[in-house]
Amino acid sequence: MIIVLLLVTIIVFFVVRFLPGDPILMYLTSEDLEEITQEQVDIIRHDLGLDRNLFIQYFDWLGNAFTGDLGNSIIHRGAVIDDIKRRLPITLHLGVLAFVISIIIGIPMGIATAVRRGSWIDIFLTSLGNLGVTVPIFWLGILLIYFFGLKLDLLPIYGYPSPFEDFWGNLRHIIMPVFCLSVPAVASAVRLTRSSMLEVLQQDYIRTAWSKGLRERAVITKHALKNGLIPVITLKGITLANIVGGSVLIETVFSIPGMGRLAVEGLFSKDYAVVQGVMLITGIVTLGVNLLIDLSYSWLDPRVRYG
Amino acid sequence: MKKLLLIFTMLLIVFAMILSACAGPEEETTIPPTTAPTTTPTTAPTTTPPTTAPPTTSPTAPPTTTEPEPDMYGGIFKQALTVGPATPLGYPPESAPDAYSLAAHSLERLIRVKTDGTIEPKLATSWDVDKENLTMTFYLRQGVKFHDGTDFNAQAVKWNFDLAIEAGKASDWDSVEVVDDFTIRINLNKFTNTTLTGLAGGAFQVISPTAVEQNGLDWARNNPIGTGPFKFVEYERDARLVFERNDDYWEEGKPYLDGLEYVVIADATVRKIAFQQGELHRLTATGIDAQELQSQGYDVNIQTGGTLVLVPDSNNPDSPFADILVRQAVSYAIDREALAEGLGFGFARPAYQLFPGFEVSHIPDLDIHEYNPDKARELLTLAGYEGGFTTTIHTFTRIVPRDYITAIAAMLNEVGIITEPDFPEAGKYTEYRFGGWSNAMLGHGLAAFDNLNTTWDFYFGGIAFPSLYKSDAFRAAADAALASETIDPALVQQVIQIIHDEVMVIPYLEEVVVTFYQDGVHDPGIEDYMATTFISDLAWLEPEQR
Repeated sequence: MIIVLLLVTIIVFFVVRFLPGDPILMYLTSEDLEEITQEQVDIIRHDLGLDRNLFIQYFDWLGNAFTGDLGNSIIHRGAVIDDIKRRLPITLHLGVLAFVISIIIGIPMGIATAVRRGSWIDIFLTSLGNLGVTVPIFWLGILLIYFFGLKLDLLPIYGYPSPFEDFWGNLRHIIMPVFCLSVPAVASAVRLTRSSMLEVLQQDYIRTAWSKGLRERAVITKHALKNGLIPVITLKGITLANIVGGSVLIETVFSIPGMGRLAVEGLFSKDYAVVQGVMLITGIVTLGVNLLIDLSYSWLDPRVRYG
Repeated sequence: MKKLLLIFTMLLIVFAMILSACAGPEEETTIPPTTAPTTTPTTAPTTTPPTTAPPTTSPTAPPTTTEPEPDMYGGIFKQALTVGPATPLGYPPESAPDAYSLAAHSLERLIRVKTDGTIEPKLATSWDVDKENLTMTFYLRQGVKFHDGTDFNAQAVKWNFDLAIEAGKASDWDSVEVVDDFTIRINLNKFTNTTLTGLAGGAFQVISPTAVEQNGLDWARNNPIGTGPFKFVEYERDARLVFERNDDYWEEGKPYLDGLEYVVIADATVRKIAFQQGELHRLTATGIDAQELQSQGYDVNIQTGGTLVLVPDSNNPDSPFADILVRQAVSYAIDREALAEGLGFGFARPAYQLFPGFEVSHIPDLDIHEYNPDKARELLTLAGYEGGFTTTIHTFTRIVPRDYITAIAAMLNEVGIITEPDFPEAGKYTEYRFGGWSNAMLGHGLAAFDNLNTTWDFYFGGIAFPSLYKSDAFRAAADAALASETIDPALVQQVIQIIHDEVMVIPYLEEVVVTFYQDGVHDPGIEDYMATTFISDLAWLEPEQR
């Protein structure tokens, strides 16, 4: 895992450096100093340490990252770790809620469609699932804002007040973004759970369970579900990791200052430190989640434990 | 295990909420727009100004105080930002234009410039400019205090201006000296007519030296402590920026508002809906959104801005654009009227010269390049490109709308210039702009300034547009326009004429700034100052808008 993490840091560092664009020019443009001379450009590059050998810059950044210092933003000068500390909780709040909703709603719906295959419930929920996977969440967000914000005047359309300063206000603000984030997550959970459960329900050991005279509930929950959940857990693990990166579209539509917007604005302005910081944290969380998923396999499928 | 899963999930939610609660407000922020100043009102705003006389422009008179009516006071003025300011709000040597204009509610300058070019006293009550001896002497306002309670005086101004020199933001200045407690002298290395007007912008906002010395640079970056009509309250990056009324403001009776609030709303549709909901008092909109709001009857102010242009790589001898006939062909091939009508949603205006909306620069009898594809083909043949050639237009879509460039490419294709539009992201575009481009044109927007002479230095000086050929005649005319004591329309028009004759850049549309207001919102500053700058000490709200 540590080797993978090191590889992640190398990829993050060098990929960002090789993207087109020079952060100094972005910085200078922002300073509106179009009259600047090349010498002044070189001085600023030197001051920011960007004229050093790339490998020296990398090891310098890596060493600092181990101590929790992800460097300072080239553009706004603040510590990147402070930005992440402020934005990660907001992104996690929305993302984890959407994640939980996708499990609570998506998996039971997927089971229901598999168990009642061919019934109207299956057709209805599968159609909804297909719709949910294909609907552009940006468009969905605008549509919700139009109806629930402008037409019905029921919900606020932008911003994110702290839940501890204004709990109900926060709740009203996050209903639409969380719904938008949940829709594709629920839909994909329904579709994957259905196909996975359908496969498991045709296994010999399930037929044996039915022939023993077990009730449907017992067959589904005690025998089929664990195996049926393995691919779903993998999918949900990836979803959880993506949550940390933030949803750029939803954060943009609902004007929520989360990790996604931080990453995108960092990319637009070639703010190396910001992009590297966000990518590193996302990478660490992805690795951690993958580890949890691997561990969960052994609980779900004893063959993994003994294999 | 189910319990464990449940507990894990609950812990995740609680953890996220706790972290969220711990997340304090951010202080500063994000991405710098490349837009810049100016404008001249072309339609009168429907709001009525307060019952105050405008400040005088006499350099020896202080701004007039007002006799405001009681019901002009109160309310929080709400507006939206597309993106929060990227650079520090509180430390001008490190700030960019977007930060300057927002910090201006708290941080003032010695003077303020109106769009008609008149200079208004602010922290300086009067000044003397000695062109021969290259000095500018400013007599400062007395009895003014910074928001931290410390005194505003010549030492504070010198401390600020020394930082500006050190940061390379005052290239015309050699040094600043304190003459007495309320007089400073700036020693210049050269004088142009932008030297004085330049003091009304850029990095010359005055902050409290004591606040920086006591709290440190990191704190100062996030906390603009000046003398302005509003005190900074908080800035949560990419979310909101809040100011409150400065009850001890030096200008009696000002400001009228209790505070200002900016919310960052990145998406144009959401901004429009927020305005329609009544959440915002003022909104700058473009295209179809502006058309919709106008059709709904909102008060609107439309001001001329800069000019959208194509910048050919005329400085590259291997490029077809090195030949003036080719550049003329491009100009004749563009149907400007069709562009304005088809893509401007009623707000765009064709431009056949730079800054056509400004009296100072407008040349009424210019021999313009009216749409004439046959003539364009003829010129190409004369230039030796009978069969046409292939080229590219590089454009950053945050500066120029994609549709304009796509349409222009189609028009150029019609005359045989096979044009491939290219829409690079910011980094790559900036490389073209400062590093050069070949066999191509940049699709750019030239913003107009209070003093249009600033344009020659701003866009055509330094390292910007290295692929653009600047002739000796242009340089001489630009220098002459800058050297005149005051802005001389004849000299400005001479520069515009040379740019046109040499087809240095190819203008095609005039940019306009379209600002909408809720009923009962008064923003008289927009009449006298550029629309992109909100003059908060003049704005006020009727009771139903508070």
